[in-house]
Amino acid sequence: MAKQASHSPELKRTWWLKHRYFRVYMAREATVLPLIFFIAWMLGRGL
Amino acid sequence: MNTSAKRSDEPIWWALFSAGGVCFAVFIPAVILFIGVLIPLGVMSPEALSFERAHGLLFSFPGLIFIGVVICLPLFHAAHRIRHGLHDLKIGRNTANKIATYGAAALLSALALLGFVLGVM
Repeated sequence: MAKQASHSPELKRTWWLKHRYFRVYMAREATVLPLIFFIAWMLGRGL
Repeated sequence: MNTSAKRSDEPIWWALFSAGGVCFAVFIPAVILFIGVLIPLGVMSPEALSFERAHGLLFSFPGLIFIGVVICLPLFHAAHRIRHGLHDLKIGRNTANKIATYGAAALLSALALLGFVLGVM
C-alpha cells in the first residue's frame, strides 16, 4: 500500500493576530529588539 | 539501527540561546541600572566609570568575561529568537534565516572581540 503523505495545514502569515494569547506571545518575542539596540549601542560606544 | 542518521545542529543553537537568556536576564539589567540609571541620575559618582577606570576594567580578563556575557551570548540569544520569530511570521527560508541571524551574531561577537584585542594592544 502506498504511504500517504501527512497533512500539514497551511497557516497564513497573520495567524497570530487571531487570538489574544498569540498576540501577547508575539509582543513578548519582540522584546528582543530593545536588547539588540542596547547591544548595538554598547558596541558603537566601544568601537 | 539507522547509522546514517543526520546529526542536528539545533542543540548548539539552543544551548547558546539558553546561556544568552541567563545573561540577558541577570547581567543586562544590572548594566542598564549602572550605565543608564544610577550614573546619569548622580546616585553614583561619574568617576566610577571614568575613561581610565572603564578602560582598565574592560581591557582585562574580567573585561573579556564581561564582553562574553553582555554582548556575545545575548547576541546569540537574540539571533535565535529572531530566527524563530521569522519562522512564526513565515518570512524567509529556514537555512537562509539561520545563516543571516547566527551569522550576524557571530560577526558582531567577532567585532566585539576585535575591539577587545585592539584595546589590549
